[in-house]
Amino acid sequence: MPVKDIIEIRILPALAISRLGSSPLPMDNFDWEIPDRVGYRKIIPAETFHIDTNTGRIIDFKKPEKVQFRDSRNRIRPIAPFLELWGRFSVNDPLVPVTMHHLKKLGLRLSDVHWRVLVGNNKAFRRTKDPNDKILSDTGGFEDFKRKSLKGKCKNFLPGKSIPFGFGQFIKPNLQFPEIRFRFTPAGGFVYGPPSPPGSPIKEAVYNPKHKWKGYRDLDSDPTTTAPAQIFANDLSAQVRSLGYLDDECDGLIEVELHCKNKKLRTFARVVAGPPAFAPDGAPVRTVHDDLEQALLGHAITEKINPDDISNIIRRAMETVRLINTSVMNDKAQGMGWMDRSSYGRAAEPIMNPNVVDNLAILARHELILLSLESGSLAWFARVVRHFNQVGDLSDEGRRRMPALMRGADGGHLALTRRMVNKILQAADLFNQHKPVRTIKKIVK
Amino acid sequence: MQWVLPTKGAKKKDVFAYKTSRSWKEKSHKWKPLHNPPLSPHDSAIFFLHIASEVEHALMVQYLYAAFSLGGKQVPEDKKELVNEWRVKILGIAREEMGHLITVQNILHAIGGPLTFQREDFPFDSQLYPFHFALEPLTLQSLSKYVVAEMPSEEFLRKHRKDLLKEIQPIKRLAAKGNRSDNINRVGMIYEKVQQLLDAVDPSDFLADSLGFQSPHSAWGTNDTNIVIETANDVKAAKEALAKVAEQGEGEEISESKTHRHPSHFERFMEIYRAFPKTGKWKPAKNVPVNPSTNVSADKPGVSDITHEVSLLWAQLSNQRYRMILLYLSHSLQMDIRPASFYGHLVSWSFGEMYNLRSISDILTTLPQRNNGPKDHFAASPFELPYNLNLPSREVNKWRAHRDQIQNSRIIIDELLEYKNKAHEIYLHALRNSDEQALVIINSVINA
Repeated sequence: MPVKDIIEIRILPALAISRLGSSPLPMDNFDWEIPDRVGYRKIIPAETFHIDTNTGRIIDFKKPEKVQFRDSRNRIRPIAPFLELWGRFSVNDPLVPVTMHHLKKLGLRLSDVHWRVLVGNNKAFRRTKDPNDKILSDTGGFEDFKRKSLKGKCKNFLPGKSIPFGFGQFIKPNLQFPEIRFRFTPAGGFVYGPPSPPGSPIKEAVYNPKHKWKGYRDLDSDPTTTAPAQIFANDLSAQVRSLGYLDDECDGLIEVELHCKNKKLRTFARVVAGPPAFAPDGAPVRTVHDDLEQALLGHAITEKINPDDISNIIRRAMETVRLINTSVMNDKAQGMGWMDRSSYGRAAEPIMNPNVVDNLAILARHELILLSLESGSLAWFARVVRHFNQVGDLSDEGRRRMPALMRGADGGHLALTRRMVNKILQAADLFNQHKPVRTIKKIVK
Repeated sequence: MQWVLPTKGAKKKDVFAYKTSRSWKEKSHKWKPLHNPPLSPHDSAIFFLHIASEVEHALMVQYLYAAFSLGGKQVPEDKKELVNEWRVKILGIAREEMGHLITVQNILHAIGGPLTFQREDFPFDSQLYPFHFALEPLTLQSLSKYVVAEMPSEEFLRKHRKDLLKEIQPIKRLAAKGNRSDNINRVGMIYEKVQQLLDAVDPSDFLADSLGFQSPHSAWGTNDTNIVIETANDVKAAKEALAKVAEQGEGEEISESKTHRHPSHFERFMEIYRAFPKTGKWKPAKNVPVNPSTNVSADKPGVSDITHEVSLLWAQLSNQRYRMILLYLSHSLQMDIRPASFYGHLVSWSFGEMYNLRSISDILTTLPQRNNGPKDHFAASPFELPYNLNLPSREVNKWRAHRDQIQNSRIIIDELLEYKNKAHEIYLHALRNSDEQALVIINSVINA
């Protein structure tokens, strides 16, 4: 393909989720496979880049023999995603990975690719609303292959203090791997805060205790309080005062600028650093992916339903159930039973019949639904799924809808996205009719 | 003892009486005891509850069979959605019959009677049984039997819905024709009788502590308020429970103008009947046998054997999983229910077997009934009862019985896997794995 111009660039993936870990050795890639239709997923090794962090060079590309989430010193290995530069060379061309060969054809050098990382942790600011509580890091533009430390700075920090948010690095392409890549490596997963007495979990004192975050209280009278309220390290007093703790999670942008001869093309991707996954062989029943899919495609299903999507939802429900002590979370003094009482004054009652919520029994129920998906039993499951406008239904029937015993971001009972629910409803109809997969035009409101 | 027609406010002695005419008429006043010699009030109530249980069980199985028969290539494209709606409706009714069956067991618990999961295949006395048991594909004639069995009393219709009374007459004639010329008995009649009998039971025979053994809606209802599963600890609650069961079948509320109520079984069957093809121009159901059997040497009239070797194995698997449902259900209903009692497992497995029966039935109705038979004659789940439905008396041995069932099933699954049918392998492997997981739990209980 002749390359005379480049008209558009993108960073893919547009959103990369990293996971904290204190090991200097980033996590290897892995895939999921489903060896047993009613069993759990199996983690299998996948090919992985190994980078020399001093030079940005790719020193190896191989599949590990086995997947290990901790290093030899038992430190958690961080998930450090790669982001790739993609481009379009004419209006009718598809997006393709941009390589150093493309740059050469365009008369550009690797130094014409300028990167910048802007990340922050605004958790304290979201509550105190003091702009000086924002913790921000900005690398400024760079085009070399040195690993850049992401230092989180904050006006309310003690002099000279910062929180390390991890690293950003432009990966040096080579003939074998000529693509333009960037790697984001998150922080170690440590706690920071104000000077604290010995025995506290704080790795380093960074926050000036004179400022609001230390001793902060959520006020019920403040409608803008982040929901759910009071989920920060606190003094365990009735006032629920913040201890001023901070973590090294962050999110932000990775920007890239391509300095062409007669123009500059710019784009960005988002990165997020979250906690490690301690059940990496499964996924939650509702994920960011589900919400993004709904944001992108809408809640109505107008395209062909893939039965595997439905199996995937049921499987994730099963994987979620296995992590819940269902008997305890069903107790009237725990979980949603307690929430319904404390938030809404509902009578304290278990949600499900306590005699049937044994975790293994509930797991068996999910496995059997998975087993029989194609036989139409999904119709039953579809009937009991909680819709978005039923999260506040505190009747016995309402509280027992699926997913049960879990809380959504709004403090109500968790519902699947409207798009997921519509998929299940339409698939139930589909499976019931014993028809092959078809395009579904009906729109469920 | 004098046998008389029970009347409102009947005394204990009166309720021993019952009708006798085989060709029963609404106005018939010929009554004689159904059980001879007569039974005590308590025993009589248990006897009738057993009849109710057997009838509910039989109806559930016949409705399931009818629902599974629906669909297939012979259904015209523009009728497929309608036929699917019927299938969903009838499966819903079958599910509700399961709720009725559990409610009846709960009332048996309440009065301290033995539970039963038997089924009336060949009743010794058909005075109360709605119609001769027959597994048959859904036809206008089989449908007419279901309509009549679930209908409200003619007396009620005469008073409130003369239009329906008129509409039902030809349906009754068709139903009788399909029932060896015997008239069909209303299911509701059994519940009317049991409610009368409960009044005669000594109040001290209602056991409040039986609630710990009764299965509540919260455990079995799948959060579906249309499924009636009631518990009871006194005569009032027991009668109300049975009234709800009867109401769901007949729906005497059809006289009222409630727009959002759940239609009764009678109304749903009537709706299907009205839309069902009357001319035979097209067939909503596949060519599946009447009363299929896995007993190839059986020489019973009206029984149709499954001889195709693969279909036969699937039919045997279907029977095995049917047996497993009944044993899980039976065991769960005999338990002193409490957390960590493995009750939840029995409930989950019962549901699982219902799904499995559905999956296996769907497979069977795509397989040939016989070797070298017509290509459009399919097999179907035979719902044959095992040699015995009793569970051992010791708790640990009940679990051994469940283990045995899984092992029985494994033998059939392994044999089916030898045929290497790719379309079935995934399901069979998954079923076997699922059984293995259940076996881990079961063995842990046995070895505890």
